[in-house]
Amino acid sequence: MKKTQVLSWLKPGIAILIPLFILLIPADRLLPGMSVIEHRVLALFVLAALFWILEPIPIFATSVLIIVLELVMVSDQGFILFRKSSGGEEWTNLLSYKEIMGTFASPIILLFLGGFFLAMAATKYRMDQSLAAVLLKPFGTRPKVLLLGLMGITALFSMFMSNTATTAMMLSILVPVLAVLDADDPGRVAFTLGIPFAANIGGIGTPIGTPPNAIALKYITGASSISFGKWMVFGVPYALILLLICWILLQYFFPFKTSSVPLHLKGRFLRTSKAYIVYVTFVLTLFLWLTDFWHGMNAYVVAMIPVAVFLSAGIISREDLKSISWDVLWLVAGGIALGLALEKSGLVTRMVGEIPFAGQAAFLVLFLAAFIGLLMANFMSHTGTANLLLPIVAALGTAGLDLGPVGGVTGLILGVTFSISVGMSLPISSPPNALAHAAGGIETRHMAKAGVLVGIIGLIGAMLLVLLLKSFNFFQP
Amino acid sequence: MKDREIIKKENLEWLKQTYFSDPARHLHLQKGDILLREEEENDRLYFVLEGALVGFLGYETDHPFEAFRSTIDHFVGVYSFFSETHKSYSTVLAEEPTILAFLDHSYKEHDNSGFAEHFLPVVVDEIYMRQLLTQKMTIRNQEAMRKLFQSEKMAMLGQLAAGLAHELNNAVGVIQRQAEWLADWTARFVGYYCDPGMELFFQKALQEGQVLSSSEVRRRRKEIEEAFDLPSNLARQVAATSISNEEIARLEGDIRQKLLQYLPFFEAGLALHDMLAASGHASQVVRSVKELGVSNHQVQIRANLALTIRESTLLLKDMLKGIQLKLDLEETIVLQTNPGELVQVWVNLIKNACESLRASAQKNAAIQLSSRREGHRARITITDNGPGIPEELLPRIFQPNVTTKIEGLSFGLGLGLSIVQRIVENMGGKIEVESQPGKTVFSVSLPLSE
Amino acid sequence: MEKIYILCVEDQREVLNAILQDLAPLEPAFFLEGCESAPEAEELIEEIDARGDFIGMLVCDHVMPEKSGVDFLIEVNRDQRFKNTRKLLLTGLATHQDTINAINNADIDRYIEKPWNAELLVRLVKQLLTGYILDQGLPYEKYLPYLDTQILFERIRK
Repeated sequence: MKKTQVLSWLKPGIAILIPLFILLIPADRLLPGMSVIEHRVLALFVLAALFWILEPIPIFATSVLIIVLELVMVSDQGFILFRKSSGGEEWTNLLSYKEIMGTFASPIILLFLGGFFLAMAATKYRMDQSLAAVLLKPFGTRPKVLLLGLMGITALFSMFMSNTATTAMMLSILVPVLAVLDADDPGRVAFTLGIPFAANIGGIGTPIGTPPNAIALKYITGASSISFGKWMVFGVPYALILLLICWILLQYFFPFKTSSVPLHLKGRFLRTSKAYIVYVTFVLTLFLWLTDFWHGMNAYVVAMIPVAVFLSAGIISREDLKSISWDVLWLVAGGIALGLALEKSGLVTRMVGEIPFAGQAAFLVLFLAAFIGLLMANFMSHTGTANLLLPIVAALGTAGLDLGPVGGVTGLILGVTFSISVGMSLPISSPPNALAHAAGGIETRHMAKAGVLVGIIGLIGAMLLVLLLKSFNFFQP
Repeated sequence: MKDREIIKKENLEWLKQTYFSDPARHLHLQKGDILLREEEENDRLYFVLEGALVGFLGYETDHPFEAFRSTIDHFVGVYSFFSETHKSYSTVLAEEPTILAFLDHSYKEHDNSGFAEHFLPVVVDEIYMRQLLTQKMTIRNQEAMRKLFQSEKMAMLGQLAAGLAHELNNAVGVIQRQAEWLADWTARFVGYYCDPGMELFFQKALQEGQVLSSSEVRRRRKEIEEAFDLPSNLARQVAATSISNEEIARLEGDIRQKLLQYLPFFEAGLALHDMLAASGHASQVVRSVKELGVSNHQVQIRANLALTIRESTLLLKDMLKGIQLKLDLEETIVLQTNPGELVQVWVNLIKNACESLRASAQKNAAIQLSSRREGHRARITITDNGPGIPEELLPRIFQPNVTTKIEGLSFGLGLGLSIVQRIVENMGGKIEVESQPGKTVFSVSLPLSE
Repeated sequence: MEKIYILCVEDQREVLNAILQDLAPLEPAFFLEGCESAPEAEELIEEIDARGDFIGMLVCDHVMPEKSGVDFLIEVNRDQRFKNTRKLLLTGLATHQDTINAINNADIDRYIEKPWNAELLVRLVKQLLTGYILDQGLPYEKYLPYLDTQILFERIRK
């Protein structure tokens, strides 16, 4: 066989063989007292991790693969031989197939779907472009201020639109700006890096800003659950402060040579009746999201309102419906299903129990978990990282640790989630980074220099935030 | 002039019998005798019984114009006889000994027995003839104008082409010369300072260019991919080089690394090779265009035909390598002509033969050149045993822009043959071609100097 | 993994080499093939299609023996399998009528006159391939460094 062919089989080979190997090792050797189902879930978890890290197949395909493997191997409607022991008795801790399948339409997914509808309608009726033109005007032509404006708008948009789409839109606005700058002006780098960074940071601001947030919400349940508005109360200030720091850093690393950058954006708000429906629905949805304490509808329910309105009003057509990013939704669904299996099989509790956390300071646990999150997010998809890490982090609350100093398991999850979102030092870290890198004019070392620093500051900031929230008793129901 | 249509034959016979049979009213003219003079009085209607008359306008002037010609059974003087003025509009003289019969004016006035009626067709016929004459004149005039215009256009185009060619000639010359120099210098540099692999790759491209066709390259690419486990894009580049598997296997160390190192040398060699070929082509075209524009009467000296043919073969020495050349020349033929143009003709014809032989990779390729005296003309034939010219192309072979496709850059057959024909025809000669597979003969016949 | 091909059709070998050389910077991501006549290209297209690979782009000369470039492109254009394939006519000798024909019947995407500018050619090919990849629904991430970002941004923001 040829060398190139060997290489192309290497990744899937590793990703399949290692989990198989784990299945072959007797369960007791791995973790004492582990059941057959837990054993299989462990193999699945390793498989998911390897597939998401090595990406032999697209990450959303991995998600679907996990769901299907769970259905076949560990569900109560799985393959008959997998359901029964050699003695012919059915295993006790099999997962409900309905629950696994339900992840495709879990409230988290539908919350995201609502977000997609808002973003799609806004783009279709050019609300994004007109809004950008209006908002950018006050920032004038001084490059520093203009950069702040661009980053601010990017962050704002990415709170409601996908980070990738926001980056693509803002980069296309940026091209005429870059043309004005000299080829050797470091300011070009500042502009080009500012967009993806702002998009990543802005995503932190709302639950629908980026998929890790939604996955985090999934694990923050019960009494400590966080509403849309409550998330924004700490998410937006955190994002804003980090954005400002990022802005200062970029100017420092890549100072502008020119003193003026003329940017004229064309954009006028559409004044058709359908456009008005979009504006009103957008504002109304946001208002309802922020006022759940008053009307009682939670964020998931509210998210369905724009879906109904836009479809009824013919604003989102059948063709538009086909262009929804199902890959993102299913990527999240796979993560939820994985977390479900880890939790319901009891494996995660057993694993966490094995890790010598006990007695460690809660703060150190937070730091370690957040650091691992940041590290992983730099090399693989943010959503994949959250899918793998958050179920384990959520289980730490049950591991007999005293998490009180960091605000309990909720604080831990938030700290890790935010740290994941600030992983942006490489082109492969996130789609916005990849797009900016493709736009040209920046090198990986530029991105690494600024990205590593922003990541570390973001990590420290996330921990400080958690401590601050704790001191306000924010996590107390 | 024209066959009579208006007057029926039997009517004419009747008129002849009735009015022109009286020998007293017959007239004999010698060649050159003048019957009527322009603007002078005439009251007779003549009928030609034998011989021929010719009428001129402006006979006394420097440019007499032949208005008509009348032979047996034609009427002359119809206009002056029937008109009120009785004035002849042309000068009429006998072209050969001629016998005429005539009626005089008194006849028209005294005889009332249907004279006018009898002669009406004759009058109509005359009017008709004149109109026809006018039309013919107009057409002839237009034709002359067209020819004049065409030749002026050609002359202008020729001048333009010559000017353009002159300008380009220097530029193309520099490019060609410098490309040759650069190729030579680079070859020596690579020979001195680079390792043998680099030189091999460079020389292969410089000498041969890319010999493999695109489909051959694709086949080689697959072979190489399999034999050496190379990525597809690298394999494509290697496939284009026509370097054999053995030569690749002989490369020491990491083959992939070595190939990456050597391929740019092939590219460079190929670039130089193509530059040389293209600049050669360009200068060929420029030279051809110059020929098109140059007037052919500049240098006319007595030239030995055999010498011009020998000179052409010398010029084409490189091309004729590997082709058997048979010369069968009559040494003493001398022509009054421009020997440079003559050489150009032979060079083009021999080169075409060479190219056709090369393109078909003919075995035992041979070209025969022979010259013979044939009366007052010299006949030169150029014969090759190549595949011949496609039948459908044969009738158009001397038209500009007709080309037989030759692999790679094709050098000027298109313009070549039309120029050859032009030169030959300007010398008063003729060029012909006969072609069948295995035998193509171009034969040129030229007038001998007197 | 699917392969996207750029097919160049040009009867003069030297010119074909020059085109391939100019497009070589795209080779890490795309597969370059050269053909010296339209019939050869037709055969190759079938072969590539049969392997399940994609013809992303045709760069075609017009004046060629056997079959003209425009006639070839017209036939490709009629073939539903290649409805997204981008077509670029690279020629110095097309008449007015040929050009009209190329636009109306072959639906060509771009027209470049010889002699061409290598940078322009590469830029246009990048633009066209970006459109092809998005229209064909292929994952664009893998090709990012070789795509026209402006077009890409405009398309994926939707």
